Amino acid sequence: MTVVGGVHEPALALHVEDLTASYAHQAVLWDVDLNVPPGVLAAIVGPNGAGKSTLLRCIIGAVRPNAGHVYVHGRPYREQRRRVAYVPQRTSVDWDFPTTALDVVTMGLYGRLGWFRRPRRTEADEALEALAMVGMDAFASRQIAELSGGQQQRVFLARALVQDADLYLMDEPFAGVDATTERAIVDLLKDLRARGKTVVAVHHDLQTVATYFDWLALLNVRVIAQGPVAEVYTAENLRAAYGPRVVLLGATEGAAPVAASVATAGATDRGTEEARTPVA
Amino acid sequence: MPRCTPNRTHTLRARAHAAWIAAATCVALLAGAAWAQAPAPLRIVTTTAMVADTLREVGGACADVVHLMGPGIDPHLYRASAGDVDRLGRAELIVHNGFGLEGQLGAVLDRLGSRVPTLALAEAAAEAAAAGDGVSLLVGEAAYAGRADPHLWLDGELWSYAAPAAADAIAELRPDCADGVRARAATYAERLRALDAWATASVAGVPEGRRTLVTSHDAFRYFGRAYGLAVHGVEGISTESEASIADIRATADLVLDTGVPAIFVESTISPRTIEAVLAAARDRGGEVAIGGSLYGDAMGEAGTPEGTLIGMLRHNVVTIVTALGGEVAPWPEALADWAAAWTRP
Amino acid sequence: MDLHVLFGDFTVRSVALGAALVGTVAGALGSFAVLRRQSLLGDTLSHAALPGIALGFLVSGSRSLTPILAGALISGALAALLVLLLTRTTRIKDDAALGVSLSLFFAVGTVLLTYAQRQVGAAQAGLDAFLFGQAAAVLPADLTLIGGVGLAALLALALLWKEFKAVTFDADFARSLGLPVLALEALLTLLIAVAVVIGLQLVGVILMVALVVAPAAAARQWTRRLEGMVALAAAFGALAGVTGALVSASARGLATGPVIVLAASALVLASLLAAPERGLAWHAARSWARRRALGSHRVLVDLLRLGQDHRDPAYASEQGMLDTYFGGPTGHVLRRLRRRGLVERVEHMPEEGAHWVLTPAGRAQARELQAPFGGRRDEDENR
Repeated sequence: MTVVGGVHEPALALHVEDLTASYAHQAVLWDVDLNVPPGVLAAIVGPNGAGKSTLLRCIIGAVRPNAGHVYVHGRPYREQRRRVAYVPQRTSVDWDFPTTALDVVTMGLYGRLGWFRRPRRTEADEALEALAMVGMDAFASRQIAELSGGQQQRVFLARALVQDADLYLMDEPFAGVDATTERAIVDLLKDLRARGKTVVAVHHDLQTVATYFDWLALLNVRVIAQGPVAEVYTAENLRAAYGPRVVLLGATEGAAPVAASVATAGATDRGTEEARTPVA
Repeated sequence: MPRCTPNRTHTLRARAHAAWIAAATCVALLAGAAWAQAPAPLRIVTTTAMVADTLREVGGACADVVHLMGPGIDPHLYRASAGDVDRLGRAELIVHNGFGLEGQLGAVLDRLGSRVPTLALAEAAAEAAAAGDGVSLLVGEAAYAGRADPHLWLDGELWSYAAPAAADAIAELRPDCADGVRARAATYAERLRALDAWATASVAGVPEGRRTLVTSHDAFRYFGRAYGLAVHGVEGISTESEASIADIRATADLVLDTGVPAIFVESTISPRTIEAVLAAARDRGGEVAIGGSLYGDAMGEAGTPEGTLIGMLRHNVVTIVTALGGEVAPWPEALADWAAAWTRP
Repeated sequence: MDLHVLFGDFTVRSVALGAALVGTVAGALGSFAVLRRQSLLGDTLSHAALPGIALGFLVSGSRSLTPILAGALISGALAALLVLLLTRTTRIKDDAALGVSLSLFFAVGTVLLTYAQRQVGAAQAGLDAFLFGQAAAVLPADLTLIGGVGLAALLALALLWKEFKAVTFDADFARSLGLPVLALEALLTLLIAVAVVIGLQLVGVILMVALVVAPAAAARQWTRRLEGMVALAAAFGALAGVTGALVSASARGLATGPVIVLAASALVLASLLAAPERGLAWHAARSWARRRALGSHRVLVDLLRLGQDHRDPAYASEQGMLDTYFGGPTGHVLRRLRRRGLVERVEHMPEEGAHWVLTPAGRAQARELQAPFGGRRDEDENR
């Protein structure tokens, strides 16, 4: 590892090394290395409880890892906060909070405002613009409790967009949204990529990984494999990540499966042997 | 004495034997008599210190008195600890005030009453007073309606009936002490009556129209009746309920109406309520101050004059009379020795 | 009771002012406790203040309010810390941790209080009064303390408003912005503790939770934005305080603290019932209106269908048939429809009951309603 003038791995949009985290003496992440090049739409997939959300939360500093470092575009994460936008899981928030869609998006600008300054007209305008980007400008003064799942997800995305970041970290952005919203989000991601931004998203649906993303990391406490989707999305890797009970439809050994689905819950539970043992 | 027998040698030995027995018996009888002259003091446990003081004065060496509630302890709220219950259980005589003064000890006293001889001193005093001088009890109002006011010890005359009642109780359990305690009781009762007369004379020295006593709670009704003061407590007879806004307003109104120059706090109660009355009265232009702290439900520190019943009443009278603008009467002759005992260096 | 007289009275004004201050601060900061699902935290903080109150007296040896309240704040903070420790290091959840901390500290407090009562001067400190409060005896010096500390807490809230909002709504996102989430949450808990402590003298340890939770719960029913909720909660808190003071001043023997809590509870009840959109009365009214509309629609559609089945648009349906199909009496619905000009009553056979026929307007509306129900005959009908 070479650190020159505080710069480390400047060619990578996101560089994670040796990341290790545990919860109640159980390893959730172990020796995780992630090297995401800039300008890709990267997906992180793996069984439930494999540490995917924890990985993102470690990166942004919500969880203290036991070991490891995170660099964004060559510098430590904490120096680059302004260039990173985080979209948490939609279900991690109580949507009965008394606030409007515009208000939520404005919160994305709090980092820029700093202490003691109030959001003003400029901030409100930018927030409205971000809402328009996700097609939600008509809902600006709507109570967030009245929004549907897809609309809520779009508000969350707008909150990230308003930060005008270079790296976007998203936790299951497609979970529980309707088909229209899903298409809208895909278009949005592709637009971000076209503008040179990088997106790293925890994705829940194996079926759509190959179509939506161009870079993939398979995670099950350890990183099983990472790289361009075509290279990584193989039956062998999937089995290594999800355990032997993966059902591959229309696939042959060694070739990329057309679609894959994971069989019973046994293979995905955190409590099973397969999931817990770090796979070599 | 055994008679001499005809046999000479047998007679001599038998006579010595008899003499030895006679001597031993005499010694035993004398020792027994001597032992009977000094009985062990009666183990008495009382609740309040005022009751304890009375028992000590009356009992003298015949009584070993211990009390549960020290200075500054509110008898209405006091809860017995395990140690207290133990002490009460091992007493030979339990003496409490009665009339519900010890509000939280009712169950404990009831339970022990079947095992240990118990005397409710104020109740006994009241009975004697009613029979003797026809003095009546004061009845409570509001939350205490229908029940007797228990604060009898603040009326010297009324409490003087407690002394013979205490003496009787001790005498029953220590008959040999009977004469002694009865004599001491008579002396004590006389002192209390002298104190009572002095208090009446002193209060008479307060200018007319100022003879109102405002205190934290209604402990001084017997005191007021005996010595010519109109009394008003912010709280009722018991401190168990909190003073309400209406109570404070009513007291402030009274203070302004009567124009009394001083109101008083008590040693067992937070002065907040009186301070609130003061603030209210002053806000409306009243000129009133806190005249001092009174001993109502408890006496002062042991080892000080205020730690005795006589001293407690003396302090109250002096404080009240002086603050209300009067002058106390000269100290009575009958209590001169009491005063002397307390001014010895 | 003459309000004019009451307002003019010094004692009533003092108590009302103190209660208003306490209610305002508790309402404002309690909003955050309620939104963070930590309503029980207010209860834990107030019950846990008891050992601090006793220790404050024992250590300072005086009946002055400042060491007592400082002790209350410290022991409350320690209790909150214990809750944090329990939830972070063991498997105990939030609510159980709050309960454990509350009962532990309160028990210790009771033991200390009993011990403190035996010390000389304890009665002077009036420690007992902290259990249920003694609002009536609030002094100008107390008002200064309560006002000063309370306003400082509100100032801190105003300065860090957007930070507290962000952390309460989405803590992880706030962290990604670089906000020190743990420190902000700790500070917020501290401010809530301050709000609790300044109210202990008026309302007491046992009931203080009501002033923290009730105004916020009531305000939630009326507002759509956090700013509005906090402002309204503060106003409700002040209102409860003043009302409680006035009501308890009107009669002897009415303890002020509990009456304030009753006033706050009344506000919650009224809000639950009457608030627009979230209130129960509102829901009931809307439910009733919908059911009524549904009844009308169904009868109209029934009449239309009967006409379609008999291939006669002017088919007169007997009311009995309509009752049977509807599953209940339709008389009142039909009369309502007649008033709206959608049906007409006709006589058919003399021995039968009333008959009803759709008017042209009624037919038009019935056809509109039938479409979503998927009427099979639509293809046969000429539209």
